[in-house]
Amino acid sequence: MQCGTFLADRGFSLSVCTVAGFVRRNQTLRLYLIQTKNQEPGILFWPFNCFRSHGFCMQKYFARTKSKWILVGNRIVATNFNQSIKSIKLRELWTKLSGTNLPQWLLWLNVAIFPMLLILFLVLEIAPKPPIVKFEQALKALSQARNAESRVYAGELLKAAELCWDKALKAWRKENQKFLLSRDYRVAQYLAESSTKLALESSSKSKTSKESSKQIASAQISILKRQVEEFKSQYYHLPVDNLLRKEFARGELKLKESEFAYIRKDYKQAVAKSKEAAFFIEKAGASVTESMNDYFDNLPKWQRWAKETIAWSAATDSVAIVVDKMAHVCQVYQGGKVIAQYSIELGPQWLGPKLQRGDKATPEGQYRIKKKKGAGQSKYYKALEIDYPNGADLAKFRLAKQNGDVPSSAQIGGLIEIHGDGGKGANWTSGCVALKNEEMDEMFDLASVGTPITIVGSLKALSNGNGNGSSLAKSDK
Amino acid sequence: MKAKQVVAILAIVLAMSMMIGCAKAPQQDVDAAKAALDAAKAAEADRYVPAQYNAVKDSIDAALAEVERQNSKFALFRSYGKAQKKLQEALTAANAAKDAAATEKEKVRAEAQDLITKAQAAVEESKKLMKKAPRGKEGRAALEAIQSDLTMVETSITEANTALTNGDMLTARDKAKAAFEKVNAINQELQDAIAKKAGLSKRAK
Repeated sequence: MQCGTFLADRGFSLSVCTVAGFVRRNQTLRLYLIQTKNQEPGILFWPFNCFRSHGFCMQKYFARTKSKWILVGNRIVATNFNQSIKSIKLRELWTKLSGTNLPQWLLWLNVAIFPMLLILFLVLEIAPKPPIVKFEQALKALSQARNAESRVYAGELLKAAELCWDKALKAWRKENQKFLLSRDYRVAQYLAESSTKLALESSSKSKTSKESSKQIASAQISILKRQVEEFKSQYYHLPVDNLLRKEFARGELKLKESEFAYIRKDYKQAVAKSKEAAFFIEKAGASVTESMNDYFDNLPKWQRWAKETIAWSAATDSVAIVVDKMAHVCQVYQGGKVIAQYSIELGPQWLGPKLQRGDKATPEGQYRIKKKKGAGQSKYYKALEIDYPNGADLAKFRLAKQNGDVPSSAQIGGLIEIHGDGGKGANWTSGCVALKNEEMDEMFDLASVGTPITIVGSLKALSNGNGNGSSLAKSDK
Repeated sequence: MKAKQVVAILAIVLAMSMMIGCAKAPQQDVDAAKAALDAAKAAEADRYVPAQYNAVKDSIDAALAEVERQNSKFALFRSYGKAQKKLQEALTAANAAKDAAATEKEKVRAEAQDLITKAQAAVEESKKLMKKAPRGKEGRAALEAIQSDLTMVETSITEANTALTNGDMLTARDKAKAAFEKVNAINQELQDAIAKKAGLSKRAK
């Protein structure tokens, strides 16, 4: 049996009893043999007079180790102290076992080793003990923090906790390198406690942060999805600036990335991506809304124009035409009442006023039909040419030039018509109003030279179910 | 007197044998386990298999604490068997985490690569569909908006490819997936428009 293991297994009882006992030079030392269950026989050295005073310790030890028998002094004693003593003399036992007499040197060996053991056990008893419990607590707290995904949601705190743990281990190691009695584990203990505290904080923060991130991401994703739907239904089909549309598309892609991160439960990433998405979507939305609001500042003027046109129709019982660009509708009035309504197609840049020739915008204003072009006279089946530019348009164009809104070389343009060849499912004209040929036939018959035609951006407010322009795949007009 | 000399010699021999018999800290095992943990971290086990990585960290910490627990004892009472066992278990777990991370990373990489390929093919399909899509006399004007979307999809695919090259497979997969879904929506819009155009043509006939 290895000496170290033997002492470790039995050390506690020995040391307790040793501390309590005294060794005197002239004291008779006794040899105890212990036979424990499933163990080889061990040897204890003990001054006989200690046994009685510390019999209780020994008894507990023997009970714990389930000893079968012991040898007390020169006699063998049953381990069960309540049982009757069955003993033989040690010398007799030795003789019985070895067939020789008990040698004198064995007792002298006892004398030599016992003081060493006594000092050792004293040192072990009074040496500072390492804060094992504190370290175990720190280990548990760190494990909890890691499992609570603190690395993602409370990274700084976990990092600090791990740093404290490393320092605590180092401090522990440093003390372990010192002599038993000069060790001081207070720094190591403090660091282990700090690590526990930080790890628990990190664990708690991580749980809160994760839940909060989950909720924020979920809320942000649904808000953005709604915004995307609204943007698409209100503005997607509008000829908004391509740069804005690109930003919106970028936002949409970021939103999808956010959704995927959310699905794989990376809520932190989901929040980050949703923030990026919100930046682009809201920027595009705000920009379009702003320009639309600016445009719709003209609504009262447009409504007044339409009202005047309808009133004129009612007063003169004549035909008058009102074109609503936003609704992509052309209404024909007679006697102030709608007698026909047609879906129309416009130029690709139909949203907004016409500023100059070639801008593919349809002008807004109060006009009259200048010329009727029958079949064969127009490139687009039949046409009703309007008197664009009128005086107001010319004044506006001059102002735009002065303000630098159009280049100085720009021309105002003209030849704006209501013509046929419509029904393509797209805004394709150069700024004219296109109808299907059969509807153009009706319109052509109803209108005459001089018929008022008022073209407006919209007749309804932006929020009032407006924005039903044309998209590439919009339903039949 | 002779007996006393024998006893003294025996005592010295016994003391020396006790000192020589002291167990030694398993520094090699500690170093090996730490190196394996570093290797697992380098393989991004903390990102791709976080639960496994955390378990490795825990077991290494526990093993190091056990080593110090033994170091705290009197030299003769030290026994590093338990610490050694823990360190060996941690080493095995770290190697397993490293392998699992590599497998998972490769799986995500393959998914991302597949999505990028699909998205690129879908972009090509979009370009073909745009040629067939309804257009008026102004040519591409009506499709400019869709072209803007498509440009952003291509940007996203490029970003996914960059993330893939940089080894950020999760980001690459998310970006590729987003691009793929977006381009599919664009294609659907184009196909609807083409179908509508075809329907109108038939009605005209």
